Amino acid sequence: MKFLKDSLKRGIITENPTFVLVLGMCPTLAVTTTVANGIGMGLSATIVLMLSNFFISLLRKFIPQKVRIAAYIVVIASFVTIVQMLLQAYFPDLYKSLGIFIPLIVVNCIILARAEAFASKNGPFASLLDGLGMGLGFTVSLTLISAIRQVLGSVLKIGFFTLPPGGFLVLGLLLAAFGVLSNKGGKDK
Amino acid sequence: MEKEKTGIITVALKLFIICFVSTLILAFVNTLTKDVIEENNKKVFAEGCEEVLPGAARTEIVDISEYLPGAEAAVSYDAENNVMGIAIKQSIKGYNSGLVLMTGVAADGKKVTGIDILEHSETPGLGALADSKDFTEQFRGKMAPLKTEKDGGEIVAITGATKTTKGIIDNGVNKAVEAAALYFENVDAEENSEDAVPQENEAAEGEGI
Repeated sequence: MKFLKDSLKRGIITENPTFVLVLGMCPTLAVTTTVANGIGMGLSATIVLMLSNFFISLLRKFIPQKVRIAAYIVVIASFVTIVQMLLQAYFPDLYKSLGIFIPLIVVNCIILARAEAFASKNGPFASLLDGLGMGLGFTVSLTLISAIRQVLGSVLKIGFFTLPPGGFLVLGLLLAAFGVLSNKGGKDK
Repeated sequence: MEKEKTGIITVALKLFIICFVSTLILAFVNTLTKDVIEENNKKVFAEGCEEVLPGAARTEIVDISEYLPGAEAAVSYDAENNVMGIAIKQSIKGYNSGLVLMTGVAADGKKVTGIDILEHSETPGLGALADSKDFTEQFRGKMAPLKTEKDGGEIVAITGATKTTKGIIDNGVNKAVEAAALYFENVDAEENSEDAVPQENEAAEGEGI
């Protein structure tokens, strides 16, 4: 249980993939125009991240050091394709709105980064939890960004925020806010 | 770390095994989901027909590939079995490729009864706005050929997505209307000739005897 708590805390707060590690910026900026897209993308990435972390960790002794990146990409791409086919079959509406971003999970550097930095060195169960924590951290960040952009852009009709520059601006401000808050926490301790 | 010394053959073989197993799993999931996806696509097609030609009593799939290669189409009939119009599904290029558009054309082969975007990969926040009622509703009841407001027509382009708008109008709707007009002309011609055909056959048989 402590393990789970640690993984979640690491993924969502101390090593939040978006606000602290600053990974996977392309999908972050691209899909966060509506909250539904943000959550859909976040959860799809979470599933892929958990599965790929788990299996890469299982295979970590089998995968030769020399070709590990190639092997990781094959594993990740397979899971992405599976998620894509399942979404297309059972959640066609979500699939329609996420469109080209699902295949882009393959090149989402969060997933490769966790495979390289965590799953290749830790056991399958810990890696699965790490995937869950990181995935939820990603989902929370996407939800936060997309909520701000949707409220400003679609509800208050400031169209600027639905466009890419608005995305950059919101992301930048949130990064700054996150930095200030986490620094403060450090000093208090 | 003895593993570091594994020969190139072992490395290649291991990578091969990983790829092979992945392929097997993918093939398996594909067979599981293929039918459901097919079913969904059919449902989307039927819903698209209803969206662009509302109130049809029944629809009938027709082949219009000779007028518009790669397109799928269905003719809609009302409760009295009169032709209401034709719904044409085609894949076109907007800003990105792979925009799937459904166009409804009335039986006169001129009036657009409605359009619907079934699939697209346009830029979110820009071209993706084509898939909103604000944009698609303005096509309803317009006479082809359509033009954007800037070119002296009636369609208000999507802000910041001129290419998507033009793609939908020029590559999509206008082409669909042309194909529909050709289809209706030929159907009329065929119906007339069908009346004539039996007589010709009888005559031919008579000569044979």
